Amino acid sequence: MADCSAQLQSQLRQARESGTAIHVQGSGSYARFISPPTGQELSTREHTGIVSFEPTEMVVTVRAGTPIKELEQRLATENQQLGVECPQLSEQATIGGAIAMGMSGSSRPFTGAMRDFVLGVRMLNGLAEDLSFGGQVMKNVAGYDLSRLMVGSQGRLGMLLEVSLRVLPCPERRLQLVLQQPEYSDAVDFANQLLAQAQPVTGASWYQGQLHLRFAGRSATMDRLQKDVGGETENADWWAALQRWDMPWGASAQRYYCQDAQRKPASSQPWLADWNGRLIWSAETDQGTATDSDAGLRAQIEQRLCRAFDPDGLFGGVAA
Amino acid sequence: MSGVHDPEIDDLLPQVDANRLVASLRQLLPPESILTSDEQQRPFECDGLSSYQQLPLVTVLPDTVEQVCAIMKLCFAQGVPVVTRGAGTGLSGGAMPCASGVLLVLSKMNRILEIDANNRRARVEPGVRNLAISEAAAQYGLYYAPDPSSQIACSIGGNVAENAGGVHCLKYGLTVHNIEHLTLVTVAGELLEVDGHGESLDLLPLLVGSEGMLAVVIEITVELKVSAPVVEILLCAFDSVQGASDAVAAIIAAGIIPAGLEMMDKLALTAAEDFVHAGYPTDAEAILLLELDGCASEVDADLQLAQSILRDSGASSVRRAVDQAQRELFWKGRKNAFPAMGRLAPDYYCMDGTIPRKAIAEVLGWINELSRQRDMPVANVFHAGDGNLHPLILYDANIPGATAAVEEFGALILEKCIAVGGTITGEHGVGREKINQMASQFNDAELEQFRRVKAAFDEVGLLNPGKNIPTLKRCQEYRAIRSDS
Repeated sequence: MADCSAQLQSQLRQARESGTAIHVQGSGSYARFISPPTGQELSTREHTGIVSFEPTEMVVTVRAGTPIKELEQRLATENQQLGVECPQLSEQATIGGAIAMGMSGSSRPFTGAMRDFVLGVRMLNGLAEDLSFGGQVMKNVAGYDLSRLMVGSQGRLGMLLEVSLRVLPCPERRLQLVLQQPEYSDAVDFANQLLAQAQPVTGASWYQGQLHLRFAGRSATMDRLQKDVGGETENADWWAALQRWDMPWGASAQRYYCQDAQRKPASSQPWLADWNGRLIWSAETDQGTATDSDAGLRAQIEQRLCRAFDPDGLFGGVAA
Repeated sequence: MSGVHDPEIDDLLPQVDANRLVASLRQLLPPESILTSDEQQRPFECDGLSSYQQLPLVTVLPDTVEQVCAIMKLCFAQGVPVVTRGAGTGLSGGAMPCASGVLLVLSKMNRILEIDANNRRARVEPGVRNLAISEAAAQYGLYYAPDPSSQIACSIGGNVAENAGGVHCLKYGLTVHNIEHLTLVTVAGELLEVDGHGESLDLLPLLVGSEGMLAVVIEITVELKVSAPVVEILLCAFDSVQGASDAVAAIIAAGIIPAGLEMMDKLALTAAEDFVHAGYPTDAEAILLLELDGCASEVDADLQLAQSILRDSGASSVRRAVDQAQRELFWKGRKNAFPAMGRLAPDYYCMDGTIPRKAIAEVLGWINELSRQRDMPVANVFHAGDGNLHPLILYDANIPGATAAVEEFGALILEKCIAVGGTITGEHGVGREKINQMASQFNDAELEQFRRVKAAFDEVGLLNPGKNIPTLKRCQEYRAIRSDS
């Protein structure tokens, strides 16, 4: 529970003066999934703790090195929760790492993406300047939205010191159901029909003929859904495994976004659909995302943006 | 201190050869798409903030993506500033033209290209009106959620540029939360696509709300929401603003996420009532409009809880709209609150500060006190659920000095918002209007970071010059004046 902002700023200043490349290091929980970092480590691990939490405002401000588990426990004492499920690849996984990687969990198409819950950041840029963007209020359009740009930026724009997040009330009850749906397209349609009735769906994933559905809301709604939707009640293990990126086939997986939920992946390897068909996990490792026609232009803009935050190019890579 | 362009403290505008520019434009566009005379361009000299006016050198109304790319390439080559405009309903002077530049009006690009009901999204051109998307999606039981009060007229391209909000943002988010994909034209006339699903930087939230400073939005894929089968609205009267504010905090703290939660004070609700006869209790000091939506069992449970909280918070009356007609009527008063101000004064100046909900009563009380001291009436009608204030300062612009006095009062309100932990703008944008207060909200290093981000997209500074981010010199001057006063 310490504020290490000043030390981190001074470490970064020294690195800048000596021209040493650095990488931001959290708990290292994503290490298996990304290429090894280069340069000197700038660690968030001591920079932990909740800076402020105002349950009536539904806003929490937290230091980057705070373990997600610790943050969730604190929110739970006020019957609140994060709006997005952060991947929990280890017990020590930090909120800073989750923001840096920007990977939203199973509730994403139903309740929002990780960046949707970011209200503000405090960060060190490549000039070792201590900057704040956004804030702690729900709506803020003053200046460019640099706080949401930090989500998924993998430490290339600077070091996140603090993040302010919008949080949500915990639902009265949650319900998990599993249904036999041999045809993938039927499963997608089935979940879509529930969504079209404005049922409080918070998860819809399909694997090998089974549709896993998740809901959250009032007790009366959960009772009714249990009766109306059918299938079997299951515990939350299926969803917890997805949050750990723990695939049923065990081996490592590639994750890619699918524009059209109804399109079934053509793959001989095992695959799993989350986000009701918008996110595919595949055992195939060479799937790759489609190359953009403007990849050259976008790469140029991104490079210029990185330089805009980090003119000397200190932030080489990330290890979240 | 005024926000009007001042060559002493603002960036100098480039010298443009108008004849050469217009001759080149004629090679690209049909004659009817180019406006050059003062009379033709007069309707475009300001946006919804009419106190900031400027005629552009030339106004162009392209009809296709190719034309937009060609115009941008041309302006880039000749070093001509470009200001992009949608429907011109913005409230911060963001679409005010540049004297030595082109005004790029996208209102002709108003086609709905595709509605993909299965994936709940619509692909549209930037000139499509906000409400037209919901109207086209209605046959599929879908709608586009962000609903600024100007939704009948405002364009989706303008909504993206400003990250527009509305009364339903509390539950469904701002524009940025409802956009899946953008196609943009860069300052150099190249096409750029962003969807937030690449493995690289997520440019989408940066470009949404960038006020036409980074690129020109020419195609938008919006996420559509399912129309809720059940909607309930409560109209609640309070004897004090404090009581209404406490009720807002209590409702949010109880874990209810209303679709909308709006507050109007006595001056605002009385004017709205006189204007549209919505059935508002004119003896109340403040009213809350609370909307709940969703499936029946969720709404029923929230409705019971909300009613009991409102009673405990001391509401003097709580009325539930009995049918769709009454729901529309309750909203009609709120949605017409701004035009209703015309009954109270010839002009009003609308502020847009956002504050933590807990500070609502304190800040409204403070505004009220200043209003009395300065003898300038203020009506309040705003998004209480997300702390987004809209104080409307009433005045008569024909009285010499009145506009300056109102802007001065407005600046104090925005600084109060910063002081209680809020921001100078929740949904209207900085534009030209709040250019000075950016120096209060951000320090020099932060503003310099913004300038470097701008330069990453637009190194020369041709896109919407003078908006959004103040020059260092302007900041120094403004801060010096503020510290003296």
